[in-house]
Amino acid sequence: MIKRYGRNYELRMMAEFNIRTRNLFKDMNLAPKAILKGKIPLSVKPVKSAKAIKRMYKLAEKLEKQHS
Amino acid sequence: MKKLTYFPGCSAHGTSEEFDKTVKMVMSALDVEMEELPDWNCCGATSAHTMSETLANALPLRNLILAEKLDNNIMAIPCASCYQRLKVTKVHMDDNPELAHKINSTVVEEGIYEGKVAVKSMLQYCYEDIGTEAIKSKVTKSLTGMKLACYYGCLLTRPKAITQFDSPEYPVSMDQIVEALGAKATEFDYKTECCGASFSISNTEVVIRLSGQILEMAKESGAQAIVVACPLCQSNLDMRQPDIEKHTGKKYDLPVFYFTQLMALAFGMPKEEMMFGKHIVPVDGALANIGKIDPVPEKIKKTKKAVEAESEVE
Repeated sequence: MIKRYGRNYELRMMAEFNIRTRNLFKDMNLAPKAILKGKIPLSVKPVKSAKAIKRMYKLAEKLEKQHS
Repeated sequence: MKKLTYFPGCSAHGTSEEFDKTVKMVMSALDVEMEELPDWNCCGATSAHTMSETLANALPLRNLILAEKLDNNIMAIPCASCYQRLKVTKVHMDDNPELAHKINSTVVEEGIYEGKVAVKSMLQYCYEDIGTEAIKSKVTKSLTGMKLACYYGCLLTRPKAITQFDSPEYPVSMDQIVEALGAKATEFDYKTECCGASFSISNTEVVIRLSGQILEMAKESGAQAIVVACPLCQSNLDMRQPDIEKHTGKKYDLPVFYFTQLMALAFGMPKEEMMFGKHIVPVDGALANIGKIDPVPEKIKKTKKAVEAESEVE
């Protein structure tokens, strides 16, 4: 999520978590209320330098491989 | 006029929009000019430091470098997790120039880190740089009658070597701020216990148990509401409160305010701008206590920590 947008996208993170853990209806009692109250935004405003963040991930991985 | 750099963090645009908004309102009232950090990125909390030490330092380091490009000496952060990640990175970079150079030169391309901007939580900034007297001087609608349990969570004052702020076990800064607003801070032993933090999504039962204990102790302290300075703590104690009540079979009815919402209220700002409608636990019952005076003086109840301190002396 952070690699893609540079910022957290809570709704997508929660949805992906439910899909990956095969627990699709987790927190379904809470989600509609939270969305209606604006606690969980439907979209994310990515950083302007999203490419630079993505590059940081690659460089960090490369640095850690060099030292492992 | 004071000036500072403002790092809102990801939750300010969603979960804790009311924190972001009231921080801006009270800072303006206190004559502080806030400049939002341009093109800030996520600090990496809470997953980066469990997956990659390099990324855990690199993500906050980019923000620290961007902050040095502005003309402010302090960067204040409302979110406790963001504050912790940026402060830990700053301490790592300042204490280990070799590590700083390695990460800065190979991963972060925004510039050279010089370590010239101080990192503070918004609570710390209000307490240390503004002060309770200045806060008190802006109060036009005293919160007399409100009894509040101030909850700090794990990250605002710990570890002491990193935060260098308040007591790591029994902090009092937020208590003094709410008392400057006219409210009464209750004797609350669970002010630095963990609420379960990001386990809210991955292991909700942990949050139900830990946050449940905090609600229980806050209620026992005589509080009508809880005050926090962390979006995740607010979310766990407020949004999970109905689930906790179902689990324990008890009704807590404890709204969870950000300390800046109460500052804005005491400063006489319009109630509708504090976004109380975003709270899951309704706030009206707690706010109705404003202006009420206890007819009978409250029986003084000693907390566990006070009893322990006395027995040590004996």
